Amino acid sequence: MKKKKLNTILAFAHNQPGVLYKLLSLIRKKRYNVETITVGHTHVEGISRMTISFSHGEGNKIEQIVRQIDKITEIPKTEDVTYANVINRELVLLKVKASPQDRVHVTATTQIFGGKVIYVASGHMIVEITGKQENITGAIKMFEEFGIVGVARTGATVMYREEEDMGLDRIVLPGSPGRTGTGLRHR
Amino acid sequence: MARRKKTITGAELMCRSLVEEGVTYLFGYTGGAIMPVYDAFPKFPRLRHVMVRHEQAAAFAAQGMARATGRPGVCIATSGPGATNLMTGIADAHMDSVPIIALTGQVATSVIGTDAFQESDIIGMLVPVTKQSYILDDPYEIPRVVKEAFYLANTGRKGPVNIDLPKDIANAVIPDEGFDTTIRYPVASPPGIRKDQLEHVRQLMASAERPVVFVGHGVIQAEAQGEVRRFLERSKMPFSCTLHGISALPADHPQYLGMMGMHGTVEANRAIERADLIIALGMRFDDRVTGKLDEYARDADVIHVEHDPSEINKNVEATVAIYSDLKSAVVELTKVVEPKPYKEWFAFAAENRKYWESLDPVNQGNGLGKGGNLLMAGVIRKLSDLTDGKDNVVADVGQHQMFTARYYRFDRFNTWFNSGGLGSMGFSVPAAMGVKFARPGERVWVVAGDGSFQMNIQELGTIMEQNIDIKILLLNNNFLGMVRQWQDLFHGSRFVGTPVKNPDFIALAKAYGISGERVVDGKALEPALLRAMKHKGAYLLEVVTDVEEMILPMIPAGSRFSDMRVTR
Repeated sequence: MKKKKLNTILAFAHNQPGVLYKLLSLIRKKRYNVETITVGHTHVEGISRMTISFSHGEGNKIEQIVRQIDKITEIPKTEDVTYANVINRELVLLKVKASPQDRVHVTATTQIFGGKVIYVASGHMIVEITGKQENITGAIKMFEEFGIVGVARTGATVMYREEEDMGLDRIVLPGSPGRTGTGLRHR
Repeated sequence: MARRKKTITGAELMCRSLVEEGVTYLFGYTGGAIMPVYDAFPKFPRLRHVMVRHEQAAAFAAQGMARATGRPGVCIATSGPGATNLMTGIADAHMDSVPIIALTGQVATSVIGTDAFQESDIIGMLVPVTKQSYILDDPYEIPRVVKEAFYLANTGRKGPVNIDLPKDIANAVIPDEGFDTTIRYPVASPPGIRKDQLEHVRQLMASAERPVVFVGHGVIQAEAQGEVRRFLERSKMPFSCTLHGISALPADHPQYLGMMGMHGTVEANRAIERADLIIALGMRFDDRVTGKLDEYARDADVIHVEHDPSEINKNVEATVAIYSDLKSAVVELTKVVEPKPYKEWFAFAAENRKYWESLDPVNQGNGLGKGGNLLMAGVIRKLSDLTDGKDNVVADVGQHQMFTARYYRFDRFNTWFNSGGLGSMGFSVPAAMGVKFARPGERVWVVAGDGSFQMNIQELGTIMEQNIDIKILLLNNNFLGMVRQWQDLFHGSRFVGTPVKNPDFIALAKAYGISGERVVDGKALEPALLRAMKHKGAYLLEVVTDVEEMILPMIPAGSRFSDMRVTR
């Protein structure tokens, strides 16, 4: 099987109702082919981090995608980070068939990938592995010989190794001193 | 004893916020969920509500207002069907980058999501066709949201914004103080032209022998007509307009090649096909402009000036992509361009113009169709002559629209209004109402076909009630002409779903108290047009036109420019 090349986009969004809906609506409208999407809070209150990975070669012009997402009002910063200096990680939970004799082999395989066994039952084990999104697929393959019962992947999340531009200068968060504000709200 | 605090309702706050944004006219239709806002109108005499007869017309009228003034137009409707009826007009505004504010009522927050009576998830439906949409769940947010809505609608690439106002928020009574009106989403200004880009552009312009400047809607929206004209007259380059760029500059300008694209002129399209340099100002290379993309202007370098970065390199790869406000970029270009005579290049254009004029059916014989009926081209040419190209013209969608774009010689800035991107039939009559309210001292024409006129014909009621003085030129061939043309050319002349059995339009207008007349004979046209122009108040002038007339030349959809058809 040919290895799928993934493009990764990092975006920061104002955590408002409907932002994700807008993003997905755009993605659907433009017929972009999304592989994974992860969203979570950041250390700045009201700002969420979104990592979206697209498979390449489906007519997706990554530049166009970035520019389109960047137009969403509540998303102050969007960037193609496929070749940027970022750490890219995905977590996978694998439910693997494991007879008592196999347990040691499953455990050893897990350790090769720096993972952890987190649950053991009579006939199966659950292991947890984190790694670069593209390597996770390879890791999963290694467990196929034991028999995989279930896979739960989170999708990639990325973070710049050094400073990150979260686009905070392009957004005014509620409660922060406004440029045109007439005073703080009270009731 | 403490003084009682002054209070205000959400509805009043909404009205006051609209007044603060300079709103005068609201086009709308009342209903259950929006009633509190209507109830507050009398307290704000500055707000003038124009009741339409269908919400779709309210959205188009708001567009007419916005296109004519350059400031957001406002339409207002109730929840559920009222809001969904606005959608076509909102989607149309989104496609043509027209700033409108759509204020919709919503059921009370306590019942949202329960399929309450007249509830619709209008935000959910409008997300793909608005720049921003708000649902207000806190009356304190009203001033801020209204301010931000107007700001976003009219900043950067313009477009529609929806504000959904639940009934209980409109009815809420709150102390009248302490509102935060911070704009949360300041729009970044484009960086402008870079030094290295300017040098590259200078070189491209200096070496170009066959340049064409494209004038798009952005030139009108940025009101950069003066700057663009100085650039053109300094550089001596020929220019062509997109459908929405028409009326940015006078049609009689000696460097003007006419409209480009599917129904563009022969001289413009042949020039584009041969061009070695395209300077695109404020336009987006729509498929009706380019035809088959990989064959489009293959010899040309493209300098694309745009303030919406998502339009750059979207359809046509730019040699130099200038992400900038139009005015400043054009001023920079003017500084570095050297004038050249482009003698051969203009001779080529003149040759093509002559070629087309020798073929144009309106120049043949008596200028009538085979059946002896008037040609649309001739009617529009007559209208243009009699009004000296100085009137406001609002077209609907179809053959008549393209004939108006081609044969009306627009002389004044921003006097041409039509639905380009979405191509919504029914646009003209309500949009013209908006234009007329914006320009009460000027004459406003509607040019419509018999199909499109009937898509918002109920607005004759609004015209009657408000005494709106617009002149409706109805080109009636008892057919959906544009589709008929495609059926004739590409579907073996099978006219399915296109013949129209029409009512007596003049009698219908009369029922609404609107004067009018019907012209069949060519000789009767001029006096009838003059009567319409002189008449005080709305006038319906129905002209029976030739059913077989085609708008030519035509580059079939998705075809190359070399596939342009000039004759049937």
